[in-house]
Amino acid sequence: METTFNDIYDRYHNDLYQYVFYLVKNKQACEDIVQEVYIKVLKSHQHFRGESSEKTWLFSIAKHTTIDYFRKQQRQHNKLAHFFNKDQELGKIIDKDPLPEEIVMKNEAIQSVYQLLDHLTLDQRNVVVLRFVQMMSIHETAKILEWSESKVKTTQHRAIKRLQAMAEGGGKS
Amino acid sequence: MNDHKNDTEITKHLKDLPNVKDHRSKETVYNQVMDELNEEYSPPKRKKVHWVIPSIATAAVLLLSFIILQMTDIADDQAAEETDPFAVQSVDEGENEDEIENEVEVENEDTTMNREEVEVEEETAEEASESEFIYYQEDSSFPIFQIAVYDKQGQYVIPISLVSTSSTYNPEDYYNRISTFIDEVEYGVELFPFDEGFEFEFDESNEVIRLTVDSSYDFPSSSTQAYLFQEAINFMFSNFSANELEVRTTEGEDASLGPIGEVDSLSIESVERLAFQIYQYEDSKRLLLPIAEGSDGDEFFTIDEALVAMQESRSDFVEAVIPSDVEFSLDPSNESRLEIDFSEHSDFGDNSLTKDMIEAILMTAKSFDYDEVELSIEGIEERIGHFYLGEAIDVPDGVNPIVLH
Repeated sequence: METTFNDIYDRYHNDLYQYVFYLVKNKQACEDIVQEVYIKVLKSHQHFRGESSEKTWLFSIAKHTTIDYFRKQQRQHNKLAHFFNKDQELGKIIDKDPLPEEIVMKNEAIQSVYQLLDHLTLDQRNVVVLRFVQMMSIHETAKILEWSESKVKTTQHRAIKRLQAMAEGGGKS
Repeated sequence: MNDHKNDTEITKHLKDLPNVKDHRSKETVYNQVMDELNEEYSPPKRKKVHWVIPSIATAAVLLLSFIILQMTDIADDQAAEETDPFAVQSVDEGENEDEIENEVEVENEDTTMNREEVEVEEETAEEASESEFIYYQEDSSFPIFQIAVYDKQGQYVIPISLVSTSSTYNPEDYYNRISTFIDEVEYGVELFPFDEGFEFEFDESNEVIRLTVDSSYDFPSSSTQAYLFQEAINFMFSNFSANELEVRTTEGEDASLGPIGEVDSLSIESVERLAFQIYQYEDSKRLLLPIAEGSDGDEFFTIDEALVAMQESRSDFVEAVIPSDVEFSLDPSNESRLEIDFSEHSDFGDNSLTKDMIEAILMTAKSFDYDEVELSIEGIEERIGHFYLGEAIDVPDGVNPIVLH
């Protein structure tokens, strides 16, 4: 089990951590989710068949685990009006955590984009993080999200438009 | 032009987002993961027994050794050896380590074996992709999560088997994200808005399924929608061992489900005695669609009634799968194997029409609780697609499969 953990950690931990962090934007939550991902991976690694790449499989598990996190959080916050609507408002929980030091050290434009991520739906944020932070291809992103490639392209287009509109409007939706 | 420039700027800034570091060491992460895993695997009662019994034994032996100590030096040495609590514990720990090592070895063997089987599994998946309508889950193969959609006219529920090749094995990951797996246009279907205000939860054993309905959710008022909703629940969950779906609102109250009323549970009925037809809305993908009753409105009682119904088209989108003018006979003597003989027909041959018919019959037979089907067609002796005529064919494990990466 330790060998499996070491192997996965050495190859993917940094990417996995980045992916989850930029979805939840909270280090404690990120650590909890990443831990949960490793538990799921270690428990089910024997079932992994290799049809998808190991990274796709890992990120797919991370995606599901993060959705669960938002779902639990949403339940606690009991935001009735936007609970699971079709636009996937699930991930739109406004970030109130302080900026991480890595972001503080960046210029204003990057800090601004980081904060604008809050205004994307979870689906949009997933695509943006996978495509531009993780630098994954449309194909890989589609595999992880279990979508068609055209849905990835459409969601990406809408996400960028939204970020652009928010940037022009000074962050007001 | 400006738009494009801004697009590029936004994507550039996104790409420049910094690498946020996990400040924990690898060892810390591993220990946290293992602590959590061990907590799941170690029953706490057993730990108590480990502590109590050595303590009592140790106390007793200490007392005994104290008495003996007064008598002889030799006895003292022996008693000290027996009463060393760490010696007792270290044996236990040693055993536990052995157990863990053995488990790891078994797991490693499994992993190796599974990797060796990949090639065979891939062949099976290829076979499944050749078949449009049915899916066979080989031993130790991928889990199937059956979800449900509706036809465009809102008359029928259509089951869809999500075959997850890299599953988390958690049904919540599938039943709470139905809309992400189905493209309504591509399949020519409608989705019940499960994702909008509903959340399904499964306990560890999948024996209890809970549905939490958002308190503000407005359930459709049409009784047809309510009927289809109940049918969808049956199709999705009748393969689980739960007999009912527990229903609560987010506030923990009974949920108001339109014409179904205020409920704290919905029964999960088994889905059986169905006739499978082919559904295709305009140019969308074709699907097998189950029908529960004949054109006279009566439910099917025997499989020959269902097979007769499969000779009639129901609408422009629900087509017959058995030619209307073909004759067939059944041998009902075998309870687990359906034997069916078709007369000669010009449409029959090694073609997609005959293959579709066989697949629809296999699903129909499954719904009547048959395990296998033996088909013969007059004038055709060999095989159709990958079905060998005259040999028993197992009923499938899934219908309308969507194989997720």
